[in-house]
Amino acid sequence: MDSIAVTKETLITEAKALLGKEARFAIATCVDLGDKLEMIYHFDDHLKLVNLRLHFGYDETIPSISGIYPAARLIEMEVTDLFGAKIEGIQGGFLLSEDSPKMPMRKPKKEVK
Amino acid sequence: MPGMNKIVLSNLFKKPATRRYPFEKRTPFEGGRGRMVFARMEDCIFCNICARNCPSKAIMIDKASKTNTVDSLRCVLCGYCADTCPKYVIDMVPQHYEPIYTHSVIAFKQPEKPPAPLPPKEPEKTTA
Amino acid sequence: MHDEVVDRSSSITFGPQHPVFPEPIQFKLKVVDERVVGATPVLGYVHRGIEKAFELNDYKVNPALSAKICGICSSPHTTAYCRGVEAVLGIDIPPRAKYLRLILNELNRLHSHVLWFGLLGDAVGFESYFMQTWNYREKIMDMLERMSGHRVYYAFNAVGGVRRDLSPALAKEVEGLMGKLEEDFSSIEDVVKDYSVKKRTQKVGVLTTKEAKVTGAVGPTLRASDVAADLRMTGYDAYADVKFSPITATSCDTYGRAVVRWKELSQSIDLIRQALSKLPAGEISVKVPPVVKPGECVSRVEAPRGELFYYVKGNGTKNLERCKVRTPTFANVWPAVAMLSKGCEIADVAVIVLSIDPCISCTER
Repeated sequence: MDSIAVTKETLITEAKALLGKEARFAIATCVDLGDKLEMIYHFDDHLKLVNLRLHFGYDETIPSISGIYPAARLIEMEVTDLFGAKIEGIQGGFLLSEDSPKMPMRKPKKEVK
Repeated sequence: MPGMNKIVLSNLFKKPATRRYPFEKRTPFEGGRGRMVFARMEDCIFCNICARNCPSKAIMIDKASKTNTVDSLRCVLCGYCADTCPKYVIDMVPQHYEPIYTHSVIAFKQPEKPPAPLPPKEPEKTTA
Repeated sequence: MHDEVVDRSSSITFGPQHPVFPEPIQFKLKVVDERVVGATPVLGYVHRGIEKAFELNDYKVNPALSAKICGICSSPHTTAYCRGVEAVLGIDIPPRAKYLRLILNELNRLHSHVLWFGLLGDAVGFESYFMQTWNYREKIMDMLERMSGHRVYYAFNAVGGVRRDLSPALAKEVEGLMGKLEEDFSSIEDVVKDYSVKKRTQKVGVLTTKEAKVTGAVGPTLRASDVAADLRMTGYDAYADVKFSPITATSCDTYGRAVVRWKELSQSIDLIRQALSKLPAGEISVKVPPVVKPGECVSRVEAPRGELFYYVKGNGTKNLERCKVRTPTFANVWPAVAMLSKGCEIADVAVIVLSIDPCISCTER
């Protein structure tokens, strides 16, 4: 699967370029890699997939692309709930209630002997 | 709405399209997946493959008492047990599970094998 | 003298329990004098944590779990999952299996669109239409039961192919059913021609072409805004061998979406006939290895409601590392909010939300 690596700084410019090409925002996938989180933003450019891959630490705050693509707001709320990712201007409380387990999709920490 | 008017008027004179369940039950189609049964328990070798492949953990195998149980409220009728059994013990039959009031499981016990016949008695040797 | 801006809006909850919705979703509507000017969706009533459960099972039994995400569109879910894992493993399924998957998915599309027409009739008050379409739907459900073994939970797809074959006698019955369904649908064409239904659905829930592209609409919601995007054109499974073209409408409103779905009924009947005439002989599945090698892949199929998106990642064991599901209704929630914020009346809220074909247990998994 091809993907373009982006950083926190270049994410917004890449998203704006895709908006200029009239690409549609499909979804953003979050994966817990064990030592950091990975967000893959999937765009559909006239039936072809374009993927942007971003790595960030558990405590870093990444910018939100919902100012450019309003459709991204829902998935950013879900990722904040389920993975505990920190995104600017997005709060959780979307799918989970206050008495649910916190950040359930994170992988369990491996014990270091 | 000319089309619907005709249909509604003709429906007045037909019998209802619904079935009065539970007084009338429908015969299920053959090949349907209504429930799973251990159809040939005498061939079962208690290898545990069906219980390991069950996605909802509905099967319990007990080798000591030679009894297999199925939890009808957990079974999702996927048929993976029937596909992976090495001795073809399990069948999916069209008759669906019965509704139950209190939680219970369906048990299948392996029948006792009849005792092996004794070897024929040797004729007594007579000493000359 | 100073100007004072007075906020005269009030908030009405279009609650999770509503007779028109098949599943629970809540919209908090901001209302000014009987006109709706804003909406906030509140989800989370049926969240089951299925994405976590995908990582706990052997990858070969996961189709049994992915079919449980939705009852109406269960066969696109299993198709997308199996295609994703097959792409990571690098295996190709036999041609007969590809045609059988196409026939099952098109029969599923037929029953789903007929279900939606019944719900539309119920939303505008046309109850007898609701009952009549669901009666015709029973014929499709009976055929699905004879083909796969169960009316709703067709455990038909497996990684590597399909699990049941279609006998020549049953293939002839499917062909006969298509003729009967054509007669049935032409006798109930009222919903797209009737004056009262048109008054309730024309100019209601307008989504312009530009808005549809920016808010991420998919499926008939996007095609009714004059964008010819249909994932079946990418030619997955046996769609590369059959002839068809995407159906669009230019009116950008609820009536356009009804017309698009009505024409897709005839398109599905035609696709099934084409596939049955070209059905090749051969095997129906291939063997698969016991573990999934490391790798990731995206598979997308066209479900009845739009684009279904699966991201599958393997890590060298028999469990998957990550399986992400994005259902079409998840992508259509924001277009629904955009449609609701344009000053519609409260009586139209049900019709607008129903026009995207909401399947909330899909959205929340």
